[in-house]
Amino acid sequence: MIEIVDVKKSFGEQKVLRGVNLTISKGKTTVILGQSGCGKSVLLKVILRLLPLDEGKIIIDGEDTSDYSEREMMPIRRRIGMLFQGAALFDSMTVWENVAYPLLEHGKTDDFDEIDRRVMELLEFVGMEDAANKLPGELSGGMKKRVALARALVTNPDFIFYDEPTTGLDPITASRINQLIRRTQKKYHTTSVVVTHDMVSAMTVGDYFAFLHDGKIAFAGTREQLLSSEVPQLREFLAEAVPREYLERFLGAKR
Amino acid sequence: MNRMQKFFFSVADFFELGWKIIKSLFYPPYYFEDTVNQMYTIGVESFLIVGMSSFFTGMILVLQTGHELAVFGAKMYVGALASVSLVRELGPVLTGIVVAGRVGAGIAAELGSMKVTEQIDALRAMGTDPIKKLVTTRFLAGLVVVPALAVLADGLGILGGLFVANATFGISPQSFWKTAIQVLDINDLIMGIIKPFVFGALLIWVACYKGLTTEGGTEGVGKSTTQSVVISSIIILIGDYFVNQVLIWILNI
Repeated sequence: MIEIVDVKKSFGEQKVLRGVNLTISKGKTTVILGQSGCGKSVLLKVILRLLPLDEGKIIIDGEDTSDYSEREMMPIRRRIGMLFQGAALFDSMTVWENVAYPLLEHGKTDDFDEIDRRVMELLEFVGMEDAANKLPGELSGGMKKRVALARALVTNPDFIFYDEPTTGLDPITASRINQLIRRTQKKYHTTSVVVTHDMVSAMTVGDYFAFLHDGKIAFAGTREQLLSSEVPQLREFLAEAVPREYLERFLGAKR
Repeated sequence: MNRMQKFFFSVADFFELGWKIIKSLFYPPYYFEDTVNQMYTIGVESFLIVGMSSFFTGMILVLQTGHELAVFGAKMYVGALASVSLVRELGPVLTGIVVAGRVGAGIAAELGSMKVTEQIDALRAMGTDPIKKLVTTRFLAGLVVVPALAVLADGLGILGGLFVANATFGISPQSFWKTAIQVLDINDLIMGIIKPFVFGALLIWVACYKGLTTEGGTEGVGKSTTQSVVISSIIILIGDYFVNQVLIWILNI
């Protein structure tokens, strides 16, 4: 479980997070919705402390990490897998090396066969086993994201963060990534946080939803609560994001 | 924030990176394999261009000074002049500037693109310290390889001078070599090693700093690369003066 208490973050004069309060439940997928540039990705990076925290508390499984230094954060970060928006694969390494990297670097074993087995298992899981020897430059955007997902999962992390997993992908590839996120959740029972403005993606993968507006969480709740919410900015966002009938049909199917 | 403040903040960041590099030398993990790979890259990438530039510099040096020395009837000292200038000054500085242009630019561009494509963040997110993994490895490689390249540059420069002395001034290779080697003492050699050691550290420090602070997409990578070459070249030239001063004071020459 991750508890985010009154987290504030600014860049110079620009206040991006103005006191975010949110609890991310264990073993579930929490989707953080919001317009582009509202600070969703910043929130993920602040939790991982890739960006420094200005004010507030971040408690990860009961451990208050708010004052942690870069070195103290290292073991926490190893428990969290992150899928970056642009995949962030290492260009100089092959797909296999990219996925194996966290194991080679911080894994408990040096046994090459065991690492290879684990890497190939994950590559098969994301359907990229044939590309093991390719370089990231030879892959399409969707393929890169699948490899990045394999890399994020390879150490069996307790948490996985998805930063805009479907942005910039065609609908078919996007839907494949969404299915993968759901399958990951079912198979590994990781606590997931998905940051997106893609409502189709959100509806497919989410258990809980939060809406970030104006640097604060304007709404947090279940799927049903989301769709019946009276928060004006959220209603506006939903109306713009996707046709009402689609959302209702989805709600019906889920029930 | 005005420009002046920005400048002082970046100077502070630059020294902070230096401090982090030094600290990182004292605790594990150590990336031996990456360091060796970097030594190979830095050495092999720069070998040809460093060799070429010093070889021709040696040739020009002898060509220019030979005529002047001949006026005083001191033609046979051309080898001594060439070797002292090369070992003390030209070899280290040329190597430093050429490596700054060749390797420093490469490092700034590589780390810069890793920064803008979130690969540095990805490393940190996986619990790897990017300073140790990317910067310290390059820094150590530079400390070893740049002095080695400078020694090579000295040798090739003297060789270039030897050819011209023989072809243009009719000085036999044996006597050129003899005067060139005889004139060098231990202080010259110390200077010839310490200088490129300092330049190697400076240029890689600058290149890594510029790479890691890249912002603004591919355009930013271009800017960082250019700035890295400009700043490290200037720092090498200014640093050269101070290193000379300090060495003259310490070695008492």
